Amino acid sequence: MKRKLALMLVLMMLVTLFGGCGGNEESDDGTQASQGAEGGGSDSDTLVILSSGAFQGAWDPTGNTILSNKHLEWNVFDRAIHKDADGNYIPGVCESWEYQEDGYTLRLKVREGVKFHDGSDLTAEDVAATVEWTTRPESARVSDWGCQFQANVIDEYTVDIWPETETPVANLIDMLAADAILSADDIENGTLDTTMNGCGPYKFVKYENECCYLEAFEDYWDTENAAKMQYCEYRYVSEPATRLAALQTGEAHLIERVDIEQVAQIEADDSIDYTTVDVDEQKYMIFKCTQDVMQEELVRQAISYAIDRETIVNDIMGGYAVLADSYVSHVNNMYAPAEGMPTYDPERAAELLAEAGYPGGEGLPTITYVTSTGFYPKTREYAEYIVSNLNDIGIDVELTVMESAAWETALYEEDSCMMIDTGWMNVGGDANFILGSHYRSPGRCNFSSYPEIDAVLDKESSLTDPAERLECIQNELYPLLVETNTNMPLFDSVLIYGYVNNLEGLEILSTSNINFAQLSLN
Amino acid sequence: MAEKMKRFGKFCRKNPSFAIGLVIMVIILILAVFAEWIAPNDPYLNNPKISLMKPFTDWQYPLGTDYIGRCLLSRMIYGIRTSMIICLTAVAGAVLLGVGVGIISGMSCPGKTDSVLMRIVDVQMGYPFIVLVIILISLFGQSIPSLALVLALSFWAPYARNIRGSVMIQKDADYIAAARLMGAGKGRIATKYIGREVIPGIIPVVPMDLSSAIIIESLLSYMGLGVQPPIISLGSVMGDGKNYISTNWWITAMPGFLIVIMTIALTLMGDVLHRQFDPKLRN
Amino acid sequence: MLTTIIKRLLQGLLVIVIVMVVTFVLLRLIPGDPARTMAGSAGQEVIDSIREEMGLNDPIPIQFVNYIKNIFRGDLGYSYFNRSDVASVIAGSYKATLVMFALALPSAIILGLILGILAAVFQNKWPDKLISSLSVLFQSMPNYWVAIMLIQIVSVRFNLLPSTGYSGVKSAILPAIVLGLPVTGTFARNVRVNMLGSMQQNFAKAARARGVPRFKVLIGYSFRNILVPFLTLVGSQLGFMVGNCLLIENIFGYPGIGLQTLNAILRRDYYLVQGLVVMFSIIFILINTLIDISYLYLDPRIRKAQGGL
Repeated sequence: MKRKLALMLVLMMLVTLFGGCGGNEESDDGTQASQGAEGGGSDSDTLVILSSGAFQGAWDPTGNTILSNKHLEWNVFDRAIHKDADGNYIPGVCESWEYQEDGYTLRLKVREGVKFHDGSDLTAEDVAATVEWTTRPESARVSDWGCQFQANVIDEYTVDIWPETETPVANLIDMLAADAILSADDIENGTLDTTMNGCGPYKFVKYENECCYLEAFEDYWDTENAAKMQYCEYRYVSEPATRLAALQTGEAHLIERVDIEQVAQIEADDSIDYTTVDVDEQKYMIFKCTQDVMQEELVRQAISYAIDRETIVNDIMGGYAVLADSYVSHVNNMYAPAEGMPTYDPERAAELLAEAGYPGGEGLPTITYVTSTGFYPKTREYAEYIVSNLNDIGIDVELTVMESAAWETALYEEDSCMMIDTGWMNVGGDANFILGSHYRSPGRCNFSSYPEIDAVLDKESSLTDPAERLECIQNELYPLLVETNTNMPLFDSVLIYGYVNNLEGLEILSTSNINFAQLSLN
Repeated sequence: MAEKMKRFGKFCRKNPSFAIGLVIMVIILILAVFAEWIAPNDPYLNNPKISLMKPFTDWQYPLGTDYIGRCLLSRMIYGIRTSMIICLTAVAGAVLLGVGVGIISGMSCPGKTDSVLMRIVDVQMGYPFIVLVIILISLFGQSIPSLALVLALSFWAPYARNIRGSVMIQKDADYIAAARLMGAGKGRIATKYIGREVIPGIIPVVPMDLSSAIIIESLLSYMGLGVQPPIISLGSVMGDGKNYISTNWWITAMPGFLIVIMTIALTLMGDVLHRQFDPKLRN
Repeated sequence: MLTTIIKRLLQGLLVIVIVMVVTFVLLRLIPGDPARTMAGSAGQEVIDSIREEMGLNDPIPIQFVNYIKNIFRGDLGYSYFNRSDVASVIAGSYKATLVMFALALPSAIILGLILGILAAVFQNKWPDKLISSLSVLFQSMPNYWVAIMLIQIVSVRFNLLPSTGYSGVKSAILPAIVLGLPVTGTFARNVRVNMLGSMQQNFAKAARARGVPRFKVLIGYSFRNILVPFLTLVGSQLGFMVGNCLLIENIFGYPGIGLQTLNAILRRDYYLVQGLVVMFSIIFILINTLIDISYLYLDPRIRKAQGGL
């Protein structure tokens, strides 16, 4: 009898332990749902956007180049200068800007009446502190700006900024149109990482369980472009199939990075649609130029000629990619075709290999090749195809597919492998993010060192006239990149976004940023 | 020998479900061993021009093609081989380790050895298995031996625990006590015990664990933690198709069906073996 | 009795310490740098300053000593990706997972028991055959496939339940089904086999011979006899369920402990992984201790083996 009792007790305990907790849960949720902002996407005043990338909760915009964080910052923070639909610069939180006589100092006039989300006013002080903070040596953004900057506050709403090198900086205006304006108090108090205090149309409420909760900012200065929806949830969902399902059920209104195979599914559904965007992201094969045979330009070229990029673009990427013919994406501001860039030519590849002293791959060590999975679409698919391309000309390849954290470490490590593929989204919008990081010695991922490339990069960065700069890049830089072949561009990315039919105001920039404030549900 | 075969034949006739399971597993093993001769195409040969071909449309590719146009059937046949190597090694390793630890622990209970061994078992069982697997695979790499090791590590602890439990109960059984009285050493008792209790207790569980191992292998591949290309396993063929599940279902479904068939075959065999070897069920 | 429980718990504490050390060392051995994952493509200076801030530049033994010191102060460490301490990350995500388990586990236990007993009672008749094949099917269907099919059919086609996120118990139903199905299959099969064995044993036969009604023999004698192996099975399946819950929560974008764990490992969020692993271990150990203690009640032979406790 006693035993029976004990047994009953154990069973009851198990059931009540789990069941009981579940019971409490229900009442909890009842109250939560009524709070509105936290409810599901069915609430008519909440916009739900699903991100394909995870957020990282150290919110300082100058501390990372994580894409999902950048997308968020685009909406929470504002920028000194805006860009209109035609690419012209128009006033942002700065009303006007003008180079001083020395040719490198820029005088900015700050707009009056702009408020931060914490209620404080934006002044020249904030702009000055932002520029200095964004270009400090430990900033993740300094490589885009090119060098450190200094600032001098003239009066409450006027500020001068200039590069420490005291030479003109070509992409200064682009940077002011790309980077967030921060509050001087947050910089001083070290609270940038704790929360996001911007002056953009949406204010940041909280980050919880992979979801960022945003709320319209009533005091946004640009009343015409204020947020159209009261609440916005920007949520990370890693599985593409789940993202699409959430769109189909109406739980989400806009989803990032739809898989190519899912397009047919969207077409079959009347309530949703998709759009494609040519973004400023290029995929490259990176050669670790200090490792073994990768030191030899001929070997790197042989490999580049052996890769059948046309088939990758047309058949593996299903046409949702553009064959790369330059070292920046075709939507970049410094795009120009690079003459003589390797194309698929297995015979030429075999010749080059023989010329390098490895006829038919003889004497060549096994090439170690690393790719990622779960980060970019189809990396594993095209990596396997590239391996078969290289096998065709007699090169032995050992492919390792890594999950993203290990892959990312390998990407920036000098001796992790001999080649690795990646893609960088140009978050700042200017070519120097790509060119300066990859090709200035030592290259961020390829570790190449070419003083002649550095010299051209220095020259190019100081040309403030865009036409002149483009000419310099096309005629002086790209030939050097073709010759040294330290990175082999594969293709320019095309992203597919899915959205519900009643979503209005969707415009996706080439940096993959979206202005959430313009979005509304009809 | 002939006598044994005859008895085995009779056993199969009496237990048709065992025979069915056995036939399926033998066919699958033949596929695995003679993959080179049986597969209709080269499983590594790709042709992106004919990628994602539907099954049963072109008899050169009976089950269709995957995302870069490789023959799905050939890949599955080659995949069986890798999967069987991984899973058989893993289960064998788990059984050896688990039985060894279980017997030593049970024989020495209560005692220091038992305590230490049981704490190791506790750590193993208390450690969230998937976390350990992810960490170990990141550490050892995604090779066949490392997967076999990881799977073995995730299976051995329950064996140890169960064997220890039954050793503890049976230790004082009459036949053991008799052996001890007759002066048999611990080693001899352990051997005797293995013959009488452990092997019959293990045999029915092996097919079950084998089928779990096959499923876990596919799960790991799905999470991108399985074998590395160009090696093919059933799980990796299935994992390859995960992004295509909603539109090109066959890449996942075909190896999935095969896995289900294998699991069912193993389960059928396991059930019969269980009936045969469980002393409680023997009439 | 009390001494056994205390002894058990002390042993559990030891196990947790070992788990902590193993996790700490293993995590730092595997490739991948949390600072890199946080900073993206930024230059080495940024990485160095983040590493410094996270304390990753100290030698590993010193990091471990600091970690242990903090634990005694009740501080489980800091999750850099969530910008909050580990305890609050866990506190913020355990609810969803608990709801899922609260739906899945009791249903699986009850269903497993009912189906298993039914199958045993109707041995070799059609209910047995149906239940047995269903259980095998439940066990062998890959759970991610089940998940995606359920989303497609239940959420997308019929719009009955949400497919992602967590907005109340209804969000937990689909994940709970995927979590519970294979376990139900395992339970049912185990119960069936053990019931068959138990029903054929002498005490059951004797009871029948004495004229005890069939149903009473079934529940009072045979069923009671299978509870020890069943409880052991529940204990061991719990680990399996926790493993599966990582994958399931990921597919459903379900914001619970499993998703946190998976993301924490993938991002090398060291302290969060450690905190979660220790939490899982504590739960496993508590439950297994409970089960062990219940053995003492349920099986006199083990009670005897443990020295009459």
